[in-house]
Amino acid sequence: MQRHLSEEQLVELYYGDLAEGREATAHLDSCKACGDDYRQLRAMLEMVKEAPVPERGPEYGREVYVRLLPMLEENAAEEVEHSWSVLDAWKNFVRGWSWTGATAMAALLVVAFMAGRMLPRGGSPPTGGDLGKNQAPIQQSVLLVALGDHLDRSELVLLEMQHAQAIPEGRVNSADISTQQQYAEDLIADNRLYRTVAAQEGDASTAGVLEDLERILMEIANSPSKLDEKELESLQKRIEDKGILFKVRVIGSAVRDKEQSSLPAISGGGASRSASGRGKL
Amino acid sequence: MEQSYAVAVAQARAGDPMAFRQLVERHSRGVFRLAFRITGNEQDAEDVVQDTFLKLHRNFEKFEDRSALGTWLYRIATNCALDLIRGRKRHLQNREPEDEQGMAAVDKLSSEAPSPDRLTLSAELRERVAAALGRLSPAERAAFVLRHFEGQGIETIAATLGLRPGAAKNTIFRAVQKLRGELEVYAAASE
Ligand SMILES: [Zn+2]
Repeated sequence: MQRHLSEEQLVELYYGDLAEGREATAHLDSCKACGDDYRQLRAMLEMVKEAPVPERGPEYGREVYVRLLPMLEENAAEEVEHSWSVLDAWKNFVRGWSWTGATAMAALLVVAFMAGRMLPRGGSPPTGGDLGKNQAPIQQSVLLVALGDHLDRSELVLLEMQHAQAIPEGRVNSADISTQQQYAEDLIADNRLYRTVAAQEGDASTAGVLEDLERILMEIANSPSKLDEKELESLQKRIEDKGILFKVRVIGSAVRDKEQSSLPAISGGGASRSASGRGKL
Repeated sequence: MEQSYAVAVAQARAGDPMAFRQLVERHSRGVFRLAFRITGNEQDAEDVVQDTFLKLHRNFEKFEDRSALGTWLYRIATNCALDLIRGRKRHLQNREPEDEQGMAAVDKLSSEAPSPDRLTLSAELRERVAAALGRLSPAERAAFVLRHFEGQGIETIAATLGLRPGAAKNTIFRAVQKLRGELEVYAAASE
């Protein structure tokens, strides 16, 4: 290539888009003006490449999913509406009967639980560690999906509490946690059900974590909705000291592992799982 | 791994929440990085991440080519980010003309001139790079980010931005020219 390279050609060369790349490179070697020009361009572009991006840890994807969850459910609510007549009937029945305020998933759990109880059981009494292992696969799967969702929602509340900040309001800094409280209140009734089921199924470790979780949820729900900086910090510290977020994540992932392994037992896989997983209306 | 990834994509597309979750977990950090580079703002990037996955969830059935979910996702993310910064630009323009914004950024840099012992040169450079990127037009910035940081080809970038390939190439070139005008002196100095 005899002629000097245009700026546009230098840019194309840098990105490997230049058709006559070899000739261009040869020219750069023999022409000091173009060579210098190219090296300057490259140094600038390499410097830009160093521009940092804020770190996001390995748990980030999980946190994103947990924050998305309420919105995904709204997204899915319309889709599932049609296919829920039988379960809706159950839900209304159960709600009207005694579980006022419980969410659809908790009602669904009661359905699963009672169905599981009514089915013939495997002879040996339930032993610790395996939540609902004596139940028929479909009930177990529904239960696990429900519990998994509950843990996700709880994690969301805990995360939101952890990220809550006191902002200037008038002369003092204060944090409004009313949204988190609303969530926490919704979760308490569900949590009580899952804890009871876990205890009855002999799963002491899950029951224990759910008990700790319930205390924290109650504490969040019963706090004033406006906290000053000190109150917020001490509430956050109590949550942190219990390590509850970590425990919720641990049993959450154990539940999901079981959920995955119970998958082949369900005929058609995807359809029934997605229906149960999106059941919160 | 890739086999199970393809399965997860197919299941998520069929409405399986656990598979969808896997995809969110896998792609969140990448989408965040892309969104941050286009918007230049952490909170905006978080909003873009959220919008992107919501749009994916809502429109999954429109997605056909399983092998390139990443590309499709990055296309959604880029357009979410563009919508966001375009909306913001319009909003800001109602309050102050654009070059005043630019000047404000420059003023901010010089007024915050750090004492050498407190701030390294590279920290100052980082701010200059961020400010220069911030002065690109939204399309220039998006095209440049996709080419420079994501290594996407011209055709893909053109499809993402709804441009002809020649126009996409020009947009990238304009972006590089502008950055060069602002930054080359620092790059030369730091070599
Ligand atoms: Zn030359």
